[in-house]
Amino acid sequence: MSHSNCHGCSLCLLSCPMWQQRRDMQYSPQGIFKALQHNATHDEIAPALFSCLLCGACDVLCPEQIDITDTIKTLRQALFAKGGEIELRKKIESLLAQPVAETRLEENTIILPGKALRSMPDTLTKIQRLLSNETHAVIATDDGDDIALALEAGIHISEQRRHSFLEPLQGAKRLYISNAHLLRALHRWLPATELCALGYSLSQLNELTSKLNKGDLYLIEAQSFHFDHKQKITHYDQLRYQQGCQTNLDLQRNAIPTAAGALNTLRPALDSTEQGNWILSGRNVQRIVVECAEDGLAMSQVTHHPVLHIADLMGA
Amino acid sequence: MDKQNITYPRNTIGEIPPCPVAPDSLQGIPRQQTNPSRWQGEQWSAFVAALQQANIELRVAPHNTGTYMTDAGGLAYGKPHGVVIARSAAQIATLMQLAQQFQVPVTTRGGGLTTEGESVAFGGVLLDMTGMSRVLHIDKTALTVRTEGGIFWHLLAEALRREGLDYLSAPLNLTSSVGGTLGVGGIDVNSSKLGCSADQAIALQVVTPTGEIVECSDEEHAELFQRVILGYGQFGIITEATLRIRPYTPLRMHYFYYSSLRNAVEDLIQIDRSEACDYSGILTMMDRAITLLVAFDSDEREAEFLSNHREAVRGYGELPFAIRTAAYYAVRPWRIKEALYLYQRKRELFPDLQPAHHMQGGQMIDRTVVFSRAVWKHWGGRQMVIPDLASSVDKFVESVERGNAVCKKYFPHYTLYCVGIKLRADHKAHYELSCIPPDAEEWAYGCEFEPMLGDNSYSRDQLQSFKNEIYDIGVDLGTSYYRFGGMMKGYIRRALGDEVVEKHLAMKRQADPAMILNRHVIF
Repeated sequence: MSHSNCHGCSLCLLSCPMWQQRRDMQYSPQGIFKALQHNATHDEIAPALFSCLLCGACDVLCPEQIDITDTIKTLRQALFAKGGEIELRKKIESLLAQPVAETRLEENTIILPGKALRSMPDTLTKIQRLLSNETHAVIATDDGDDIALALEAGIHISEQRRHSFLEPLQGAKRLYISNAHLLRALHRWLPATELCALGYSLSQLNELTSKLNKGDLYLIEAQSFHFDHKQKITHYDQLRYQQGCQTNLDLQRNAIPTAAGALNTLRPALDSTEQGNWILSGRNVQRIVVECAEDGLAMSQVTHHPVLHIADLMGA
Repeated sequence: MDKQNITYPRNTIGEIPPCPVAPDSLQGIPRQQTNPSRWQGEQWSAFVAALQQANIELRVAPHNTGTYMTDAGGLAYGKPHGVVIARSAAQIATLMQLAQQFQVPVTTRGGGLTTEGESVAFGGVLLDMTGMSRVLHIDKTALTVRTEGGIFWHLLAEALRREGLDYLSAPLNLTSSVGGTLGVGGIDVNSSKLGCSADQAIALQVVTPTGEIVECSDEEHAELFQRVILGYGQFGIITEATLRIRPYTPLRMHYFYYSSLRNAVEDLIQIDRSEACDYSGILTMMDRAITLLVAFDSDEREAEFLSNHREAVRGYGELPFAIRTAAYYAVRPWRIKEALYLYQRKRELFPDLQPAHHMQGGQMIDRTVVFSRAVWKHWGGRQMVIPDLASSVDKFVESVERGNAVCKKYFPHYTLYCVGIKLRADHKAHYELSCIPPDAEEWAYGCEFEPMLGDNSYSRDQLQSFKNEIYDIGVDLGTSYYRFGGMMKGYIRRALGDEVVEKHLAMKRQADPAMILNRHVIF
């Protein structure tokens, strides 16, 4: 289904952080698609295109089953191809790492933690230990942060760079990936490998989740959750009922994202404080537990309550 | 073309043949355009200049105006000359003052869930009220909420649930806006107990058609309050509303199945009268599988119903009904297609009416979401045709049966949705010229008749003829209607009488001298 199938039901607005902050139809999937149906140019929809967090909540809601996030990524690509948003393109391209000759990792299990988690060595060690049940899990030296950003923004990734990123991972049987954009791309690039969302995998470990209680607000990482909503919603609902903890699920059972995405950090379009406040609004919370380190950083800006990564529940 | 090859039916030479598209059911009402003619833009340039001077952003690019080209009905198409996103009462007041001065039509739009083109602008300004959609204050002690008028009911529910609260009643489609709903009624499956959404409003902030900002309620500026509530947007724009709210409770649901429409409707009325349940309504698959929904806010209420009232309900449980239905079709093999449709529909629909992640311990925890998403998934589409009848209790069974016969005549598959509305004796004045029929006492009843259009292509004339035939029933029986506007407009005067329409027209002329606010809906 493409954007021409949008008939304007407004359901996508209900969980859309972009619309929630702006309260302006232009800044919603429906607004973008309706504008395109009436011949808007890419430049005219650019501000909305680059305000989208690609959280994927709209994908779950759309009754026409339009793949909204993929459509938005494609529209971003088309905009760059037409020479739009030059500054942003240059900025991201400059961040794309130069391809280097990488050797294939021998381990079966590799973790791609992402930038924020790499800066938390203690937490990372715990994660490594938690995920090293049958085989030793190693941390990838190149975890593709730059590629994840390029994927989010819709910037072309050179064959060489992609190859240098994938080569060390080719021998692995299982990958744990923190970034949802990377996770989605790896499904295409490494179809034979078992790919797991890092946060979701940790949330399945009873030794961690058993420590959650009703004073906790558990922050589900939105992108990978919406990517596989049908399967994951049951798991998180059980977690919520069993432990009595609160979650960032809204009434639609979509996860309210923080605005901590790489693109929004690079060029802020949504206010991360407002987003954090909306997540906390009306909740009686003593502690915030996050699956995604970037979410943790964003939440610690808006609350005085302790914010910790789910892996830090180990031994807590 | 070779004239000799043209054959004429013998009796019709020299006469106008019947409409080849669809049966014409317009009793005494000449066929006319569905859409009103477009306002021609006199004084538009001067108006735009004045808006600019007042720092009001007006969007005129084709993709901006095109976004609002139709409503949920998808049959009425019109383009505004410009779009204003509502941001404050003061901004709207200025807009209305200038619109009066330059005689520019202003059409307000919330969720755009009208089906007769009421929220479609045929020229002039489209005022998108969703720009004002924030919850302003929740009073947990007084159990009230103050909210901006353009908010979707869903977002209001979202904010209230964080506090363990809920609204009283709202339309099942949660992308309806609060302001739009208060203007037309708002019917929920608990309306038979709590009344329509419009009756939940305690106070409003309204921008009048001439641009005054007025706070009104039953005590303050009561006349304006009476006119704006259920006023179809004729007497003011609701910018803020104070609504009654309640503690949140999950639902204990029960479904009873019927093959007789009459029995189901009679049972619905009986259950409502006995006040034995908290939620009730009927949803059908044609007139073959009729579901009476009954639900409760507490275990005590549920237990009381099951011990004291269940026996009087003639509907079956799911399994006995499935066996009876299978037996019915087994001896009517020529109706196998219908049977397969019912089976398929049940398989698709039922899981979505009780999805695991919105249920807990057998209770529905998010009725707001479940019903709204089911509505869009199973009843939504590019075009939606939902004529309705709103009647007093006495006329309801006949309304439903006659409407059902019309559905059957036009479409192989359709749905009826029936609910009761508890009326407030002290709100009689609110109900004048509204969906509440003038002869209704204590309860009014509404039935929507929705064909399942699916991928079939129906001509606009056929759909319109269907609607007209439903509306004709209203004229015959003296009922009212939930949806006004578009082609429906011609029926208002006939169904509700000249006297009341003239009275309201006089009030409208006084309140809106240039007749610019939400034109073509009623007058």
